[in-house]
Amino acid sequence: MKLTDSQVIQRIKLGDESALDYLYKQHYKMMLRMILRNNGTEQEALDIFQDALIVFWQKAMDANFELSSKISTYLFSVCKNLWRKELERKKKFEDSDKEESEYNQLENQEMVKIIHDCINELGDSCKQILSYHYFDGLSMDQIAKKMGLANSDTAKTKRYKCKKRLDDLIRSRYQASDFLDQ
Amino acid sequence: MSETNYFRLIEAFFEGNISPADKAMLEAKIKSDPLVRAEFDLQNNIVKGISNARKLELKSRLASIDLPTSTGILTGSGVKWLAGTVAGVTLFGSVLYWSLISFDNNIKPIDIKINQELAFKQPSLIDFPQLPKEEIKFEEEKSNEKTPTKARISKVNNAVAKEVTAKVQPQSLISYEDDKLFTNQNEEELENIASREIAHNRVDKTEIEFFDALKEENSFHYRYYNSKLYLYGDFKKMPYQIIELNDKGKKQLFLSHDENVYIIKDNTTEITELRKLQDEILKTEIQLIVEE
Repeated sequence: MKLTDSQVIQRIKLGDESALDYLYKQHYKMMLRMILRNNGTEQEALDIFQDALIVFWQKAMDANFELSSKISTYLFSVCKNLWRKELERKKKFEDSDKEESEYNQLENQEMVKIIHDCINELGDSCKQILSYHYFDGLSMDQIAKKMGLANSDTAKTKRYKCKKRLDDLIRSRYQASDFLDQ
Repeated sequence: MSETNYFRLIEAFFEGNISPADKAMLEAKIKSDPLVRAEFDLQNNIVKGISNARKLELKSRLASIDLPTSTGILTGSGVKWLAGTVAGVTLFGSVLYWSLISFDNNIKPIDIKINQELAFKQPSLIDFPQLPKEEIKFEEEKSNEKTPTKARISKVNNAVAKEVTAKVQPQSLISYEDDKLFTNQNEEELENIASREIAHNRVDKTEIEFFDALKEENSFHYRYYNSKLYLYGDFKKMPYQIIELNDKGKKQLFLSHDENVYIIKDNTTEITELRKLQDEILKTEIQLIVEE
Protein backbone atom coordinates (compact mmCIF):
# COMPACT_ATOMS: atom_id res chain seq x y z
CA MET A 1 0.00 0.00 0.00
CA LYS A 2 1.39 3.35 -1.02
CA LEU A 3 0.79 6.41 1.11
CA THR A 4 1.33 9.98 0.05
CA ASP A 5 3.33 12.34 2.24
CA SER A 6 0.18 14.13 3.36
CA GLN A 7 -1.46 10.84 4.31
CA VAL A 8 1.57 9.86 6.38
CA ILE A 9 1.52 13.18 8.23
CA GLN A 10 -2.21 12.90 8.80
CA ARG A 11 -1.67 9.51 10.42
CA ILE A 12 1.17 10.77 12.59
CA LYS A 13 -0.97 13.65 13.80
CA LEU A 14 -3.53 11.08 14.90
CA GLY A 15 -0.78 9.30 16.84
CA ASP A 16 -0.80 6.30 14.51
CA GLU A 17 2.60 4.71 15.08
CA SER A 18 2.22 2.43 12.06
CA ALA A 19 3.00 5.51 9.95
CA LEU A 20 6.52 5.35 11.40
CA ASP A 21 6.79 1.67 10.46
CA TYR A 22 5.77 2.61 6.92
CA LEU A 23 8.42 5.35 6.62
CA TYR A 24 11.04 3.04 8.10
CA LYS A 25 10.43 0.32 5.54
CA GLN A 26 10.05 2.80 2.72
CA HIS A 27 13.28 4.77 3.16
CA TYR A 28 15.77 2.70 5.13
CA LYS A 29 17.77 1.71 2.07
CA MET A 30 18.43 5.29 1.14
CA MET A 31 19.62 6.20 4.63
CA LEU A 32 21.66 3.03 4.95
CA ARG A 33 23.48 3.79 1.74
CA MET A 34 24.28 7.31 2.87
CA ILE A 35 25.72 6.22 6.22
CA LEU A 36 27.54 3.17 4.87
CA ARG A 37 29.23 5.47 2.38
CA ASN A 38 30.28 7.73 5.21
CA ASN A 39 32.19 5.25 7.35
CA GLY A 40 29.18 3.95 9.29
CA THR A 41 28.10 0.42 10.02
CA GLU A 42 24.72 -1.06 9.17
CA GLN A 43 23.68 -1.02 12.84
CA GLU A 44 24.74 2.61 13.24
CA ALA A 45 22.81 3.48 10.11
CA LEU A 46 19.61 1.87 11.35
CA ASP A 47 20.07 3.49 14.75
CA ILE A 48 20.50 6.94 13.22
CA PHE A 49 17.53 6.42 10.92
CA GLN A 50 15.35 5.38 13.85
CA ASP A 51 16.41 8.56 15.68
CA ALA A 52 15.65 10.63 12.58
CA LEU A 53 12.18 9.10 12.36
CA ILE A 54 11.54 9.95 16.00
CA VAL A 55 12.63 13.54 15.36
CA PHE A 56 10.24 13.64 12.42
CA TRP A 57 7.45 12.12 14.53
CA GLN A 58 7.81 14.87 17.11
CA LYS A 59 7.97 17.61 14.49
CA ALA A 60 4.97 16.29 12.60
CA MET A 61 2.96 16.18 15.80
CA ASP A 62 3.37 19.92 16.20
CA ALA A 63 0.20 21.74 15.15
CA ASN A 64 2.28 24.39 13.36
CA PHE A 65 4.31 21.88 11.40
CA GLU A 66 4.44 22.47 7.66
CA LEU A 67 6.37 20.19 5.37
CA SER A 68 8.40 22.27 2.94
CA SER A 69 9.93 19.34 1.08
CA LYS A 70 9.23 15.67 0.54
CA ILE A 71 9.39 13.51 3.67
CA SER A 72 12.29 11.56 2.16
CA THR A 73 14.29 14.76 1.67
CA TYR A 74 13.52 15.85 5.21
CA LEU A 75 14.53 12.50 6.67
CA PHE A 76 17.68 12.43 4.59
CA SER A 77 18.72 15.85 5.92
CA VAL A 78 18.00 14.85 9.52
CA CYS A 79 19.98 11.61 9.10
CA LYS A 80 22.88 13.51 7.60
CA ASN A 81 22.94 15.95 10.50
CA LEU A 82 22.59 13.24 13.13
CA TRP A 83 25.37 11.23 11.53
CA ARG A 84 27.62 14.28 11.33
CA LYS A 85 27.01 14.93 15.04
CA GLU A 86 27.69 11.29 15.84
CA LEU A 87 31.00 11.41 13.97
CA GLU A 88 31.92 14.61 15.83
CA ARG A 89 30.97 12.97 19.12
CA LYS A 90 33.12 9.96 18.34
CA LYS A 91 36.07 12.14 17.42
CA LYS A 92 35.63 14.28 20.53
CA PHE A 93 35.54 11.18 22.69
CA GLU A 94 38.75 9.92 21.11
CA ASP A 95 40.47 13.27 21.63
CA SER A 96 39.24 13.94 25.16
CA ASP A 97 40.47 12.56 28.44
CA LYS A 98 38.62 9.27 28.48
CA GLU A 99 38.93 8.75 32.24
CA GLU A 100 37.42 12.11 33.09
CA SER A 101 34.70 11.68 30.51
CA GLU A 102 33.82 8.23 31.84
CA TYR A 103 33.68 9.56 35.40
CA ASN A 104 31.26 12.35 34.45
CA GLN A 105 29.20 9.92 32.45
CA LEU A 106 28.91 7.54 35.38
CA GLU A 107 27.73 10.26 37.70
CA ASN A 108 25.15 11.47 35.24
CA GLN A 109 24.14 7.92 34.47
CA GLU A 110 23.31 7.35 38.11
CA MET A 111 20.72 10.14 38.14
CA VAL A 112 19.37 9.07 34.76
CA LYS A 113 19.06 5.52 36.02
CA ILE A 114 17.04 6.56 39.08
CA ILE A 115 14.66 8.59 36.92
CA HIS A 116 14.41 5.75 34.43
CA ASP A 117 13.64 3.21 37.17
CA CYS A 118 10.99 5.45 38.70
CA ILE A 119 9.30 5.97 35.33
CA ASN A 120 9.19 2.22 34.89
CA GLU A 121 7.58 1.83 38.28
CA LEU A 122 4.63 3.92 37.18
CA GLY A 123 1.69 2.06 35.73
CA ASP A 124 1.31 1.85 31.95
CA SER A 125 -1.44 4.46 31.81
CA CYS A 126 0.69 6.94 33.79
CA LYS A 127 3.68 6.33 31.53
CA GLN A 128 1.46 6.78 28.48
CA ILE A 129 -0.15 10.00 29.59
CA LEU A 130 3.20 11.56 30.55
CA SER A 131 4.78 10.47 27.26
CA TYR A 132 1.90 11.80 25.20
CA HIS A 133 2.05 15.09 27.07
CA TYR A 134 5.79 15.73 27.39
CA PHE A 135 7.15 13.97 24.31
CA ASP A 136 4.41 13.77 21.70
CA GLY A 137 3.01 17.13 22.71
CA LEU A 138 -0.60 15.99 22.40
CA SER A 139 -3.30 18.24 23.79
CA MET A 140 -5.38 17.06 26.76
CA ASP A 141 -8.31 16.59 24.41
CA GLN A 142 -6.23 14.37 22.08
CA ILE A 143 -4.89 12.42 25.05
CA ALA A 144 -8.43 11.89 26.39
CA LYS A 145 -9.55 10.52 23.00
CA LYS A 146 -6.46 8.35 22.53
CA MET A 147 -6.67 6.86 26.01
CA GLY A 148 -10.43 6.57 26.16
CA LEU A 149 -10.80 9.03 29.05
CA ALA A 150 -14.05 10.91 29.67
CA ASN A 151 -12.81 14.35 28.67
CA SER A 152 -9.83 16.72 28.67
CA ASP A 153 -10.36 17.61 32.36
CA THR A 154 -10.06 13.95 33.33
CA ALA A 155 -6.87 13.74 31.28
CA LYS A 156 -5.53 16.88 32.93
CA THR A 157 -6.18 15.56 36.44
CA LYS A 158 -4.64 12.20 35.61
CA ARG A 159 -1.58 13.86 34.10
CA TYR A 160 -1.13 15.98 37.23
CA LYS A 161 -1.46 12.98 39.58
CA CYS A 162 0.95 10.87 37.53
CA LYS A 163 3.56 13.61 37.39
CA LYS A 164 3.27 14.19 41.13
CA ARG A 165 3.67 10.48 41.79
CA LEU A 166 6.77 10.36 39.64
CA ASP A 167 8.26 13.43 41.34
CA ASP A 168 7.62 11.93 44.78
CA LEU A 169 9.16 8.61 43.79
CA ILE A 170 12.30 10.29 42.51
CA ARG A 171 12.56 12.61 45.49
CA SER A 172 12.25 9.67 47.87
CA ARG A 173 15.41 8.22 46.32
CA TYR A 174 17.36 11.33 45.67
CA GLN A 175 17.32 14.44 47.87
CA ALA A 176 17.69 17.82 46.22
CA SER A 177 20.99 18.27 48.06
CA ASP A 178 22.37 15.29 46.19
CA PHE A 179 21.86 17.14 42.96
CA LEU A 180 23.53 20.27 44.21
CA ASP A 181 27.00 18.83 43.73
CA GLN A 182 26.42 18.08 40.07
CA MET B 1 8.78 35.48 45.85
CA SER B 2 9.12 32.31 47.93
CA GLU B 3 10.92 29.22 46.73
CA THR B 4 7.59 27.39 46.42
CA ASN B 5 6.44 30.02 43.97
CA TYR B 6 9.63 29.63 41.99
CA PHE B 7 8.97 25.90 41.89
CA ARG B 8 5.57 26.71 40.36
CA LEU B 9 7.32 28.82 37.76
CA ILE B 10 9.58 25.86 36.98
CA GLU B 11 6.50 23.71 36.46
CA ALA B 12 4.96 26.36 34.21
CA PHE B 13 8.25 26.51 32.28
CA PHE B 14 8.15 22.80 31.49
CA GLU B 15 4.44 22.93 30.72
CA GLY B 16 5.23 25.66 28.19
CA ASN B 17 2.87 28.22 29.69
CA ILE B 18 5.27 30.60 31.42
CA SER B 19 5.06 34.31 30.56
CA PRO B 20 8.19 36.06 29.22
CA ALA B 21 8.41 38.22 32.38
CA ASP B 22 8.21 35.19 34.69
CA LYS B 23 10.73 33.36 32.52
CA ALA B 24 13.24 36.18 32.89
CA MET B 25 12.66 36.24 36.63
CA LEU B 26 13.14 32.48 36.88
CA GLU B 27 16.33 32.58 34.84
CA ALA B 28 17.79 35.20 37.14
CA LYS B 29 16.83 33.17 40.20
CA ILE B 30 18.36 29.99 38.78
CA LYS B 31 21.67 31.82 38.46
CA SER B 32 21.64 33.08 42.03
CA ASP B 33 19.87 30.35 44.05
CA PRO B 34 21.42 26.84 44.05
CA LEU B 35 18.25 25.23 45.43
CA VAL B 36 16.04 26.62 42.66
CA ARG B 37 18.70 25.63 40.17
CA ALA B 38 18.76 22.07 41.60
CA GLU B 39 14.97 21.83 41.29
CA PHE B 40 15.12 23.14 37.73
CA ASP B 41 17.79 20.56 36.81
CA LEU B 42 15.79 17.80 38.46
CA GLN B 43 12.62 18.70 36.53
CA ASN B 44 14.64 19.03 33.35
CA ASN B 45 16.03 15.54 33.87
CA ILE B 46 12.58 14.14 34.63
CA VAL B 47 11.13 15.56 31.40
CA LYS B 48 14.16 14.26 29.51
CA GLY B 49 13.68 10.88 31.20
CA ILE B 50 10.04 10.72 30.11
CA SER B 51 11.08 11.66 26.56
CA ASN B 52 13.83 9.07 26.53
CA ALA B 53 11.45 6.36 27.72
CA ARG B 54 9.09 7.23 24.86
CA LYS B 55 11.96 7.34 22.37
CA LEU B 56 13.10 3.91 23.51
CA GLU B 57 9.57 2.61 23.11
CA LEU B 58 9.34 3.95 19.56
CA LYS B 59 12.86 2.78 18.72
CA SER B 60 12.25 -0.74 19.94
CA ARG B 61 9.08 -0.79 17.86
CA LEU B 62 11.10 0.16 14.76
CA ALA B 63 13.98 -2.17 15.62
CA SER B 64 11.58 -5.11 15.76
CA ILE B 65 10.58 -4.59 12.12
CA ASP B 66 12.07 -7.21 9.85
CA LEU B 67 14.03 -5.61 7.07
CA PRO B 68 15.53 -7.44 4.14
CA THR B 69 19.29 -7.96 4.47
CA SER B 70 21.65 -5.29 3.28
CA THR B 71 22.48 -7.24 0.14
CA GLY B 72 19.33 -5.90 -1.39
CA ILE B 73 20.19 -2.31 -0.69
CA LEU B 74 21.85 -1.55 -3.93
CA THR B 75 19.45 -3.45 -6.13
CA GLY B 76 15.98 -2.70 -4.84
CA SER B 77 13.92 0.40 -5.13
CA GLY B 78 11.35 1.93 -2.87
CA VAL B 79 9.09 3.04 -5.65
CA LYS B 80 8.50 0.49 -8.28
CA TRP B 81 6.96 2.69 -10.92
CA LEU B 82 9.77 5.08 -10.47
CA ALA B 83 12.22 2.23 -10.63
CA GLY B 84 10.78 1.40 -14.01
CA THR B 85 11.45 4.85 -15.27
CA VAL B 86 14.79 5.01 -13.57
CA ALA B 87 15.74 1.69 -15.07
CA GLY B 88 14.88 3.05 -18.47
CA VAL B 89 16.72 6.27 -18.12
CA THR B 90 19.67 4.71 -16.35
CA LEU B 91 19.81 2.06 -18.97
CA PHE B 92 19.85 4.72 -21.60
CA GLY B 93 22.63 6.58 -19.87
CA SER B 94 24.61 3.44 -19.22
CA VAL B 95 24.22 2.12 -22.73
CA LEU B 96 25.29 5.44 -24.10
CA TYR B 97 28.17 5.62 -21.67
CA TRP B 98 29.57 2.25 -22.48
CA SER B 99 28.96 2.74 -26.15
CA LEU B 100 30.72 6.07 -26.23
CA ILE B 101 33.79 4.87 -24.40
CA SER B 102 34.23 2.09 -26.89
CA PHE B 103 34.00 4.06 -30.11
CA ASP B 104 36.40 1.94 -31.98
CA ASN B 105 34.93 -1.32 -30.89
CA ASN B 106 32.36 -3.17 -32.81
CA ILE B 107 28.98 -2.29 -31.51
CA LYS B 108 27.09 -5.38 -30.59
CA PRO B 109 23.37 -5.55 -31.14
CA ILE B 110 21.55 -4.52 -28.00
CA ASP B 111 18.02 -5.54 -27.34
CA ILE B 112 16.95 -2.79 -25.03
CA LYS B 113 13.44 -4.12 -24.70
CA ILE B 114 14.63 -7.38 -23.21
CA ASN B 115 16.90 -5.59 -20.74
CA GLN B 116 14.07 -3.36 -19.83
CA GLU B 117 11.80 -6.26 -19.02
CA LEU B 118 14.47 -7.79 -16.84
CA ALA B 119 14.82 -4.56 -14.96
CA PHE B 120 11.13 -4.60 -14.17
CA LYS B 121 11.34 -8.09 -12.78
CA GLN B 122 13.85 -7.18 -10.11
CA PRO B 123 12.49 -7.85 -6.64
CA SER B 124 11.19 -4.86 -4.78
CA LEU B 125 10.58 -4.21 -1.10
CA ILE B 126 6.97 -3.26 -1.52
CA ASP B 127 4.49 -4.29 -4.16
CA PHE B 128 3.59 -1.58 -6.59
CA PRO B 129 1.40 -1.50 -9.65
CA GLN B 130 2.89 -3.02 -12.80
CA LEU B 131 3.81 -0.41 -15.33
CA PRO B 132 3.45 -0.54 -19.06
CA LYS B 133 6.82 -1.44 -20.53
CA GLU B 134 8.96 1.50 -21.34
CA GLU B 135 10.52 1.91 -24.70
CA ILE B 136 13.75 3.62 -25.31
CA LYS B 137 14.68 4.01 -28.92
CA PHE B 138 17.91 5.08 -30.41
CA GLU B 139 17.27 6.66 -33.75
CA GLU B 140 19.21 5.17 -36.54
CA GLU B 141 21.29 7.56 -38.53
CA LYS B 142 21.83 7.16 -42.19
CA SER B 143 24.68 4.76 -42.56
CA ASN B 144 26.18 2.17 -44.78
CA GLU B 145 26.57 -0.18 -41.89
CA LYS B 146 24.34 -3.18 -42.06
CA THR B 147 24.57 -4.26 -38.47
CA PRO B 148 21.20 -4.76 -36.82
CA THR B 149 22.21 -2.38 -34.00
CA LYS B 150 19.38 -0.25 -32.71
CA ALA B 151 21.73 2.20 -31.13
CA ARG B 152 24.19 3.47 -33.63
CA ILE B 153 26.99 5.78 -32.71
CA SER B 154 29.12 7.55 -35.23
CA LYS B 155 32.81 8.13 -34.71
CA VAL B 156 33.65 11.74 -34.01
CA ASN B 157 36.25 13.30 -36.21
CA ASN B 158 35.20 16.90 -36.56
CA ALA B 159 35.43 19.54 -33.87
CA VAL B 160 31.67 19.78 -33.59
CA ALA B 161 30.15 16.61 -34.82
CA LYS B 162 26.89 14.94 -34.10
CA GLU B 163 27.65 11.93 -31.92
CA VAL B 164 24.38 10.26 -31.27
CA THR B 165 20.73 11.00 -31.33
CA ALA B 166 18.50 9.44 -28.79
CA LYS B 167 14.98 9.65 -27.59
CA VAL B 168 14.45 9.38 -23.91
CA GLN B 169 11.59 10.26 -21.70
CA PRO B 170 12.52 12.29 -18.67
CA GLN B 171 12.16 10.74 -15.31
CA SER B 172 9.28 12.20 -13.33
CA LEU B 173 9.02 12.75 -9.63
CA ILE B 174 5.88 12.53 -7.57
CA SER B 175 5.03 16.12 -6.93
CA TYR B 176 2.77 17.83 -4.44
CA GLU B 177 0.38 18.09 -7.34
CA ASP B 178 0.26 14.30 -7.32
CA ASP B 179 -0.44 14.37 -3.62
CA LYS B 180 -3.53 16.41 -4.33
CA LEU B 181 -4.63 13.89 -6.91
CA PHE B 182 -4.32 11.13 -4.36
CA THR B 183 -6.48 12.91 -1.83
CA ASN B 184 -9.86 11.37 -1.14
CA GLN B 185 -9.07 8.31 -3.20
CA ASN B 186 -9.36 4.85 -1.83
CA GLU B 187 -6.32 2.64 -1.87
CA GLU B 188 -7.30 0.60 -4.92
CA GLU B 189 -7.76 3.73 -6.95
CA LEU B 190 -4.36 5.08 -5.98
CA GLU B 191 -2.58 2.52 -8.07
CA ASN B 192 -4.55 3.37 -11.18
CA ILE B 193 -3.97 7.05 -10.77
CA ALA B 194 -0.26 6.56 -10.32
CA SER B 195 -0.10 4.52 -13.52
CA ARG B 196 -2.15 7.02 -15.48
CA GLU B 197 0.12 9.84 -14.43
CA ILE B 198 3.11 7.97 -15.70
CA ALA B 199 1.41 7.10 -18.93
CA HIS B 200 0.63 10.75 -19.41
CA ASN B 201 4.22 11.71 -18.82
CA ARG B 202 5.38 9.26 -21.38
CA VAL B 203 3.82 11.30 -24.17
CA ASP B 204 6.62 13.83 -23.82
CA LYS B 205 9.75 12.40 -25.21
CA THR B 206 12.90 14.34 -25.36
CA GLU B 207 15.21 13.83 -28.25
CA ILE B 208 18.84 14.35 -27.42
CA GLU B 209 21.77 15.16 -29.65
CA PHE B 210 25.36 15.32 -28.52
CA PHE B 211 28.14 17.57 -29.69
CA ASP B 212 31.70 18.11 -28.64
CA ALA B 213 32.48 20.64 -25.93
CA LEU B 214 32.58 24.19 -27.20
CA LYS B 215 35.49 25.39 -25.09
CA GLU B 216 37.55 23.53 -22.56
CA GLU B 217 37.02 19.89 -21.78
CA ASN B 218 34.86 20.37 -18.71
CA SER B 219 32.41 22.89 -20.10
CA PHE B 220 28.82 21.88 -20.73
CA HIS B 221 26.38 23.78 -22.92
CA TYR B 222 22.93 23.08 -24.25
CA ARG B 223 20.03 24.17 -26.37
CA TYR B 224 16.50 22.94 -25.74
CA TYR B 225 13.41 23.62 -27.79
CA ASN B 226 10.64 21.63 -29.46
CA SER B 227 11.33 18.76 -27.03
CA LYS B 228 14.79 18.43 -28.48
CA LEU B 229 17.87 18.74 -26.35
CA TYR B 230 21.29 19.52 -27.78
CA LEU B 231 24.10 18.81 -25.36
CA TYR B 232 27.62 20.11 -25.87
CA GLY B 233 30.33 18.60 -23.74
CA ASP B 234 32.08 15.43 -22.76
CA PHE B 235 29.36 13.16 -21.45
CA LYS B 236 31.46 10.07 -21.97
CA LYS B 237 33.10 9.96 -18.57
CA MET B 238 30.01 9.50 -16.46
CA PRO B 239 26.46 8.32 -17.19
CA TYR B 240 23.86 11.04 -17.00
CA GLN B 241 20.14 11.19 -16.44
CA ILE B 242 17.40 13.51 -17.56
CA ILE B 243 14.78 14.17 -14.92
CA GLU B 244 11.48 15.88 -15.33
CA LEU B 245 9.97 17.47 -12.27
CA ASN B 246 6.28 18.19 -12.26
CA ASP B 247 5.31 20.74 -9.70
CA LYS B 248 1.99 22.53 -9.56
CA GLY B 249 1.37 22.05 -13.27
CA LYS B 250 4.81 23.28 -14.26
CA LYS B 251 7.33 20.97 -15.80
CA GLN B 252 11.02 21.47 -15.42
CA LEU B 253 13.82 19.40 -16.89
CA PHE B 254 17.03 18.70 -15.08
CA LEU B 255 20.20 16.98 -16.14
CA SER B 256 22.01 14.95 -13.53
CA HIS B 257 25.62 14.29 -14.45
CA ASP B 258 28.78 13.63 -12.45
CA GLU B 259 27.33 14.57 -9.04
CA ASN B 260 25.89 17.81 -10.40
CA VAL B 261 22.36 18.73 -11.31
CA TYR B 262 21.83 21.22 -14.12
CA ILE B 263 18.71 23.17 -15.03
CA ILE B 264 17.44 22.84 -18.57
CA LYS B 265 15.18 25.70 -19.54
CA ASP B 266 12.62 25.28 -22.27
CA ASN B 267 12.83 27.38 -25.45
CA THR B 268 16.56 27.88 -25.16
CA THR B 269 17.45 28.29 -28.82
CA GLU B 270 20.86 29.86 -28.25
CA ILE B 271 23.76 27.70 -27.06
CA THR B 272 23.78 28.32 -23.33
CA GLU B 273 26.06 27.16 -20.59
CA LEU B 274 24.45 24.54 -18.34
CA ARG B 275 23.76 26.18 -15.00
CA LYS B 276 24.17 24.15 -11.81
CA LEU B 277 21.14 23.89 -9.58
CA GLN B 278 21.75 25.97 -6.45
CA ASP B 279 18.71 24.92 -4.43
CA GLU B 280 20.32 22.31 -2.16
CA ILE B 281 17.05 20.71 -1.06
CA LEU B 282 15.83 20.30 -4.62
CA LYS B 283 19.25 19.03 -5.65
CA THR B 284 19.19 16.45 -2.86
CA GLU B 285 15.69 15.46 -3.84
CA ILE B 286 16.68 14.90 -7.45
CA GLN B 287 19.82 13.04 -6.49
CA LEU B 288 17.81 10.84 -4.16
CA ILE B 289 15.53 9.89 -7.02
CA VAL B 290 18.53 9.29 -9.27
CA GLU B 291 20.11 7.09 -6.59
CA GLU B 292 16.90 5.18 -6.04
